Amino acid sequence: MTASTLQTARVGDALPQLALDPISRLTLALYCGGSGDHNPVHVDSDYARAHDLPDIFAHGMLSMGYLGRMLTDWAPQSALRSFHVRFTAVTHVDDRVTCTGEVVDISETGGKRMVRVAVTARTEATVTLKGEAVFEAG
Amino acid sequence: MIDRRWIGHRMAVGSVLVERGQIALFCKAIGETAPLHHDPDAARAAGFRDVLAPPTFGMALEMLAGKGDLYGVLAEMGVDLGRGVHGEQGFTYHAAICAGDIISFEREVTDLAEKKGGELELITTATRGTNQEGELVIELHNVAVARR
Repeated sequence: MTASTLQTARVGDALPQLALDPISRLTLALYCGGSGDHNPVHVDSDYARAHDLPDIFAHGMLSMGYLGRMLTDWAPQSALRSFHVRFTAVTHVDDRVTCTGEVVDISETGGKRMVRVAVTARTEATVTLKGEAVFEAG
Repeated sequence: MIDRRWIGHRMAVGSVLVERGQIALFCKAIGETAPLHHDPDAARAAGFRDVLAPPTFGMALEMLAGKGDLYGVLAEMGVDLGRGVHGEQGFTYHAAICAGDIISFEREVTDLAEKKGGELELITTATRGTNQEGELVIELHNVAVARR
């Protein structure tokens, strides 16, 4: 990542992929603490079973955090203007999440160069998050 | 079906101090190691007041602000959290959030919708976060999906 990443970006450019280790129960416990999201469905398997779920599952926001890392590894966070995702499938314990991104649009609006990136998070089974981020090239 | 009187419901979520230790724990959880988020000197050298909150930390701050928390509101609406999932999340960034800032949040329920013949309810909320200078720093857009 350099200061000119956004200036030299072109439509079709792929962001460097981010591949994560399998999600552990420890990760979910740390994410509960770090995120302030204490929904027991993410850490308490007794609670999960009491709600007819086979096991705890990961916060969707954990994967959005992974996508955020991919974005800020590529371009400066100070240039990030928006970031939005839809959660399309649940992420489970032991899933390996892979994050990918591609520049899909570059436009000049009011003298500002806006770079739009489409982002996807996947597990081995399925797409889990789909969304977009917009950077403003400085 | 959730009572549509909830649309337009506004709540002051509360204020929260942005703390270095909380940012560090969040970063540990997501595997973020960049110095900007851990080292105040590195953050200041890059022009920030203190360590920088990473892009999705705004939602953590909203959860940590406590009062009128989204789960409490959803519970009041009759949503069983054990049968709810996160549908969408969006952030619009206006200014950096750094350790030492105090962020105040206000949230509004902006839409209620049903899908699959009422089997699923979608609850959309919009939250604004302002800092200690009264600056709008972040907007959050959340769609929660509740299963009956």
